[in-house]
Amino acid sequence: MKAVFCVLIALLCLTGGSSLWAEEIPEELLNLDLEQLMEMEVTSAARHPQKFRDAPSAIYLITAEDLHRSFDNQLPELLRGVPGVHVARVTSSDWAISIRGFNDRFANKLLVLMDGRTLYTPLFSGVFWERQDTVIEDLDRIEIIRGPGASLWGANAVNGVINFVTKSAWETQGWLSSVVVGTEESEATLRYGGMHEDDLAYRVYVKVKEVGSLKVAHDGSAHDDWRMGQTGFRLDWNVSEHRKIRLSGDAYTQTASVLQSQQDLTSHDTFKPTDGYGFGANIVFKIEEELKDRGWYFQAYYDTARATGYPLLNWDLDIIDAEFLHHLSRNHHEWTWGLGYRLYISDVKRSATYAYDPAHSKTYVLNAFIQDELDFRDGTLKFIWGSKFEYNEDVGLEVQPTARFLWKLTHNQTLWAAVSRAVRTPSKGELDAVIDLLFPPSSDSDLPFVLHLEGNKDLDSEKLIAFELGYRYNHAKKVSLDVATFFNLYDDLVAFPVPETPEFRSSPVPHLYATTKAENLMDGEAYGLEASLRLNPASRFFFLFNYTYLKLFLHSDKPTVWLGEELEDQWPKHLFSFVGCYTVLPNLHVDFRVNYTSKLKSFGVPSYLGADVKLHWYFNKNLELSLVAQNIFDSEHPEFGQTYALRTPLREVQRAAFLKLIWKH
Amino acid sequence: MMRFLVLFLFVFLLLSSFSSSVSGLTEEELKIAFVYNFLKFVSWPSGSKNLYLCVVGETKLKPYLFALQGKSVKDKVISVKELSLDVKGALCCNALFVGKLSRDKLKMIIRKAQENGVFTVSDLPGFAELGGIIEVFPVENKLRFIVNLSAAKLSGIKISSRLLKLAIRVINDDKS
Repeated sequence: MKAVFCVLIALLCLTGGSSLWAEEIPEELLNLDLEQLMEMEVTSAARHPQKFRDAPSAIYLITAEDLHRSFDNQLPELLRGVPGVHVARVTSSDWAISIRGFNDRFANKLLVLMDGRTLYTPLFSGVFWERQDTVIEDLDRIEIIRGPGASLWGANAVNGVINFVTKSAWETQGWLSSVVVGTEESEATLRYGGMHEDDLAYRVYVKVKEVGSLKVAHDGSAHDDWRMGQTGFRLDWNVSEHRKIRLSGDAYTQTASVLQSQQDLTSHDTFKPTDGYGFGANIVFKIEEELKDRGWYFQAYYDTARATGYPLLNWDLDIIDAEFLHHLSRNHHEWTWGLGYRLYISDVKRSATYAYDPAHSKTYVLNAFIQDELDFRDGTLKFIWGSKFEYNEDVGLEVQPTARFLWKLTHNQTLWAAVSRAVRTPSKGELDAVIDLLFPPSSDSDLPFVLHLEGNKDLDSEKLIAFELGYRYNHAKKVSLDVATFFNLYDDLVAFPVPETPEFRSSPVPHLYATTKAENLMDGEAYGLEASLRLNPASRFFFLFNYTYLKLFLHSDKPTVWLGEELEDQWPKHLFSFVGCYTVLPNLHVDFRVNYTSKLKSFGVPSYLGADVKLHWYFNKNLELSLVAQNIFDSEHPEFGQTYALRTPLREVQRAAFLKLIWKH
Repeated sequence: MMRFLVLFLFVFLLLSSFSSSVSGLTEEELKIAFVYNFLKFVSWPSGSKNLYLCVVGETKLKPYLFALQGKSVKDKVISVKELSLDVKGALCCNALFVGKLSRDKLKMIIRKAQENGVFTVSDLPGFAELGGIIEVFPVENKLRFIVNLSAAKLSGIKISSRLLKLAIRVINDDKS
């Protein structure tokens, strides 16, 4: 009788169900008997969850296992080798990172998020990479979406989206302590995760690091070393079976040595080291509810950041953001819609040569989006259409639609195609900046020359129409191949034209003076191919090959001085990366990585081959040690050139080694 | 230098072609295969057509457990269900996978499971000692398990001797 009663209850309970997507378990595995299973070995090269393998876009995942095998400690460096992404270190604390072209220290066609919080700054629509950090061991994955993610993510997701996702506090229980001691960087991290009752989990962490200077060719240290301290927490509360609340926050402070041109007419173009200070903090609240066929979330955050003591530009920036998303499944349709509001409050302090006009500004952005995903023929065909509607105070309404199609050719082959439109709204810098660039006397002219660069409040958004095609194959989990090609058509790209004839000015010292203003004066096209091949021939081996080819053509109405056609040559034609992992003993791994980057003609940066080796020992289940040697074949090489608006000497990345100790309890 | 790299690659590939095994398994997948297999070696006092497999607490295995939905074990069809944390009445499951829970809740769930004749399995360290029936844990790259036979007896669940032979340890308090 009890059994019957139970069955009835169970049936009732089951209708509640769960919204969790089910993973696939290979049938062969379930058919094995227990003796065989006990001989099976687990690999650390995890496969991607189903929902990523079925995505009709060029998505690449860096899993927690990949991160564990990483050769780097800095957050931006973790993106090295990812197809379609070019990562170049400009100075010790500055990175130029972009997807599918247009790389620069001020690269601006990329959206970067951490747990749903935007990391890019509206000051130049790019990322202050040196300010972004977390406990690497607490990262669950990094999702990299190449191509426009605009229909869901909104403006700035023009060429791609990078999303850092941390683990829930449930997965980071106990103590973790890690120490890095190296020739170029040192860091120490302490994290503790605990729980209260059985519905609340939390973690807190502290991290400090010091990063050494790069090298200036033939001239020794670049005086760009920096230090950072960061702390944060995350709380995950299962309010009820279907409802969850997350609260997280971080705060950091940093000091950086800066070697920047003084840009003073009377003292000439001298480079003098100074100290810059950075501070930032954020708090994020999210509540979500997931039922079998529907769900929603609401997220709100506050983010503040400031920079002081820098020779050129100091600023305060506050971001307030709120968004709501709802999804619903009905008869093969999966509807998703959402609303978002964001407020930017920026205050840029004037220096002798850099200013924003107005210095203080408040801008809001409103957006709404809708997306429908249709499944045909038992999920072998999938069609997604959607659009984002974004209203930006500076440029008005932008519509960014996309249409995507996925076809599962066989159980292990997938083909997808997409057409999308995306826009990039002008950054605060392009609208409001006023910059005086000083060029010392040269062979062309006996007089110093001042170029006055001005933002333009009448700028339009940059536009992109992108055509994408991709193919995925995976075979018995031993081979997986992902190939994507694209053709991008750009219009109204912003650049600074060559100024008209300079005028002579006699005060404070005789010099030439000319003005130029940002304009939407370029169009262009790009095509390229990205491929990723993962091989797992035996449980002890793992190989990864990634390749990127890109060709960008830009056509300007007028000759340009900055952000113009030279961007064509700020991207390497070929990027190749190989990672090989070998499990020598169950507790000893040897990993090897080679990265090849073609030359960057714009800066005269030659091609380079970076090679890294890593030894990883697991002493016991609490303690592991890794030893990494970076750039073993090359004592130093430059990766990126100087940015026109922030002229600094060319820096070189040096050979380095570090030891990392991780203790977990 | 290029030659060195090519050589390195070649050696890597050569070595890899020698070692052979089914590969690319994640720990989650393997654990699920274990759980699925355990179900074959367990018999309950009262039979029904369905086998209700529940999951409680936080665990990475959840989406994988749901993949067992509809699979059959000895002519019983598996139904997977997530159990809410505030279990008041009887546990309406035949088998229960236990994820992360607080100590008190864990003890309560184990006691309830014993009362209701539920087969419990978990990858929590110390689960079998606490009165859970099977605890799975990794040893180097493979999986091993402990069976708490006394707990199984208390729950009125029979466990095949073949399973006991494969266990790395069998807890049996009442030698009688």
